Amino acid sequence: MAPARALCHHSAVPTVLIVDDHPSFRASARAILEAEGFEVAGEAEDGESAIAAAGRLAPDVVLLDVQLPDLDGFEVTRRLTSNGGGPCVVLVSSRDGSDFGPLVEGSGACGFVPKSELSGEAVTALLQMR
Amino acid sequence: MRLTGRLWLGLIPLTLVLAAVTVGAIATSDRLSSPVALAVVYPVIGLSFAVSGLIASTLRPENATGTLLVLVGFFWLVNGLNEADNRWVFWIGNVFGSLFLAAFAHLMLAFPEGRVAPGLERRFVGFFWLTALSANGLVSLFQRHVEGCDGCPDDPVVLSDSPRFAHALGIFFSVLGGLIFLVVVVLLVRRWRGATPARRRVLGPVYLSGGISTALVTALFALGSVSAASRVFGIAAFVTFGTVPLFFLAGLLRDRLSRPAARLLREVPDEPTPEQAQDGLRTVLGDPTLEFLTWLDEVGVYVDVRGASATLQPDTARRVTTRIDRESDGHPLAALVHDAALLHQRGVLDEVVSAARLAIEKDRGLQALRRSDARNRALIGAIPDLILTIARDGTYLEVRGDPETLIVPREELIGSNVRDVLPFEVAESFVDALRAPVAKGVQTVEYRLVIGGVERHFEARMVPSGDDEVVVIVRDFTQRVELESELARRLQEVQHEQMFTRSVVNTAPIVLILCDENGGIVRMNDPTQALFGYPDDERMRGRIIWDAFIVEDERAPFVEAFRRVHPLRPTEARGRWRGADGQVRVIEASIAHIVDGQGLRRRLVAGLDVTDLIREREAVRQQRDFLSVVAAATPSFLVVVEADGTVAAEGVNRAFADVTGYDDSTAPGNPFWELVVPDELADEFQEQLADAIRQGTPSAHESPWIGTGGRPLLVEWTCRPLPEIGKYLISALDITERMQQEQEVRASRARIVEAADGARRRLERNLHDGAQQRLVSLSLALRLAQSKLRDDPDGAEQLLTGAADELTQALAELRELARGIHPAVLTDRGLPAALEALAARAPLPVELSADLEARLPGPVEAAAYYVVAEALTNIAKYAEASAVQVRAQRRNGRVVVEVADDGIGGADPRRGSGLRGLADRVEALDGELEVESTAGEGTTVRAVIPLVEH
Repeated sequence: MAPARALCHHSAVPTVLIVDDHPSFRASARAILEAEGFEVAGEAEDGESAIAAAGRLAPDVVLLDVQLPDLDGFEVTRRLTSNGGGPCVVLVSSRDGSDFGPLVEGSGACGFVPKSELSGEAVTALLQMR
Repeated sequence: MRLTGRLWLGLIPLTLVLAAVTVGAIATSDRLSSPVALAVVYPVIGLSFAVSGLIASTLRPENATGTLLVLVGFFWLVNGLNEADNRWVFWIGNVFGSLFLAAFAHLMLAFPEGRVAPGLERRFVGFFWLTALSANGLVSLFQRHVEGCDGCPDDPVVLSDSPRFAHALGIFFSVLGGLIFLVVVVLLVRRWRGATPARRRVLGPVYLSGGISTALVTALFALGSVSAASRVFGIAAFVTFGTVPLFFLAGLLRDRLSRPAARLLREVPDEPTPEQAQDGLRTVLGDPTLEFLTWLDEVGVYVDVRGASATLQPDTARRVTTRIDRESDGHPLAALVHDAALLHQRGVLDEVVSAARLAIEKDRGLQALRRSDARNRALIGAIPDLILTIARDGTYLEVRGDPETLIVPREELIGSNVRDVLPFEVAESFVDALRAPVAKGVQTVEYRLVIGGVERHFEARMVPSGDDEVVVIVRDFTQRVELESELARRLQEVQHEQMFTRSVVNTAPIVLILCDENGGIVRMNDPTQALFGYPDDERMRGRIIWDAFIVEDERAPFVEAFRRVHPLRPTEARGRWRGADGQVRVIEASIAHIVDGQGLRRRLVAGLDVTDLIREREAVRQQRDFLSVVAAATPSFLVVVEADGTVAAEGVNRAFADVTGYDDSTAPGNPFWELVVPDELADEFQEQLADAIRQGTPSAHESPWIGTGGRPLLVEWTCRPLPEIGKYLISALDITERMQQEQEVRASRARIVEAADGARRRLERNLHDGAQQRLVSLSLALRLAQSKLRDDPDGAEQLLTGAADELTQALAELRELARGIHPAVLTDRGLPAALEALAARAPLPVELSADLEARLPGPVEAAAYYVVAEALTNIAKYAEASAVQVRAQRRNGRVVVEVADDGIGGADPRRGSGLRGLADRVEALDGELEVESTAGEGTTVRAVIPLVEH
């Protein structure tokens, strides 16, 4: 919990929006991130609702699945970060990061974390690199 | 004699009848003052002419005087008819009566020869006949009543009754008649004056009587018929006229005295043979037994006409010899042995003897003259061109003869030496010959000199004449040398010609057989011997050509042709000939008339061996037939075109006609592209065709054509040259169906690839969405449980329990996925087991019948499995069925898989990709997929796949 608070730009506990179409992953991610001191501000199951939720909730971090039923994660990232600010988008996928090549780099996201390796530490590290 | 016989037979009765009619006509005439007197005088005169004429004709049948006398008498009697009262008899007398004047003038002018000299005189006589015929005839046509004849009957034949015209015509002809008689008189006077005394003795009496009567007739014409004096002249003319025939007869009889000699000259040709002389004498003297003997001076005997010597026998009562001796010296010339009766015609005999004597003497003289002429000619021919006398030292002493043959003028020659005059070599040979001793006799030197630029050949014969002189007789035989060389040249030409002919005859591959007119073989040439194996020797010569050569059943036409051959036109005879080895060859023979070197009439049979030609033609024909069958049977389109692309007369084959509708009657003559190529592609096609024709190598092109009814075709065509006929063959194959199939295959392949891609995509998605997500969750849950293990053991346990469930589900999903990729049971245990598994999992009852005996090829098993799987899925989804039957069995080397349900039917096999993909899979194995789905009757899906190893 502590590293998250210490390293955050904000004094408060960092807030997270979890976006994934699989409910089982959303539940697992919420459990892990809350266990590590993050505040899960909300969840979304597709791209459009994710963008809407991000606007409403203004989370510090958006944990965003690359593969969504409507828009893909890169498109959502572009929209969320197009005005130069926005949340720190952490792209996740059950695939390996190398499967996406340079897409992640150019998307405006803070970084990529494979789903099987998701942890508060990994998200905190990306927040700090920002 | 025949003519006279006919005259007697024909004219005597005719003349007698005519005389009787005339007597009747005159005696009964109403117009005559003394008809009886005239009725006596008139026929007496007429008959006197006729009888005199007949006698004359008998005595002098070759002389027409007699005929003319008869004609005068005849027409005189006709003239008497114009005293008749009957109008027709009168008409005949009137129209034809004047002809006696023409006949009389003709008679006078023709005497004594009996014929008028050709030319002017003869034409004049003809004119006179014409005038006499037309004078009264013409006049009578224009007057119904004869002018100045009150008692005359009317003319029965009148063209138009115009007395004035008739009168004018009458005057014209009277004047013309008078003129003609004047001319006759003039001609007779001229003839008299030009006659010899002997001729005047003949002409005298005739001219006297004839002349007087002519003068009287002329006077009669001059006075006209009106004056009283005309009666006196008429009577005088009558009397004088009546005596004329007697004078003619007398003249002819006088002439007869000189007949035998004249006849002898006529009967015997000039320069007669003894036989001809004897025949002439026999005819003239009327003694067919007469023998003519001629005296041969050389042997002093008489010989008969056959050349046998004959001795003169003493005269007997029946046979007498009359000698013909030369008048001057009594030298015997000939003798006649004849019938003693001839002595009664002494005068005739004497005359004949005199004539014969004259002829024989003349003949002998002529013969003597000829003999001397021949002798002279021989002498002239023997005289040399030049006679020289040369001294033995070579000095010319004397020169005689033709100066043309002298090399220098005669004057210069005398005294010169041969060495100075003649060329060296000639002079030397002269000198050698001149010096030869007398004992060696005549020396001959042949030499050549150029005289006047012409080379001439000479022969000099040297005859010693005394000790110091030699007479040299020189003959120019240039001409002979030239002739000899010309002859030699011609001979050589003939020999060359002969050799040429012989080599042609014996080397040309032609059968030449010379036959006689009956077909007997005379000669054969070498090729004939080689071809048939018969020698040209006595074994073949004389054999009949058709017996020797022609096959039995073809002899008749050959013999017919052989006999029919025209001298100028050869005949043809084609037939089979057999050689010595029995081999038969077909010979085309021409038979011609020919005359060989000995002048014998032959037949030349010239034949050409056409066996191979016929065989080749037959082979070509068979090949052509074969090709025609092939062309007709092939599915390819075949078209023969000219170099410019128009369809040739050879036309198109059946396949082309069937597909395009153009056959051999409609296609030829049209540009090919106009028949089948769409308009917009015609130019392109024309270019391709032109290229193909130009290059001459076949290259394939694909073109769209148009078939019957506008059906589009896709063809692959080539064009290749046909050098034998100088044309081109377009052969094309309809590849429309093939192209469609290929397209179909390509589409099917694309669908298979697409289906495979889709399946992989689905698999990846399923893995990603299913097992992978579960494993991710599992991984996160395990990690969370791990972190809670110490602080929150209950929470950790709860997490682990959830993780275990998640893992179980992930495994189930993976298993299902694996089954979707390829059923393991199919690989391990074959189609029946796999189908059983499908049936077991199906949500509705499945009745399965799978009897396949052994394992099927892998691809077939897979295709069959997926057909059943897809069908069952579709049934579950759409069919609303209560039961399904699945069958799989082998049938005739194929496997048949069938899935039938009892559902609602009405399935559309094109709907959805599932069935389409299955169809592709089945067709890739050359199988077929059928869907029967009538609404309300359920659906049956059937796949039939051949069982070949793929």
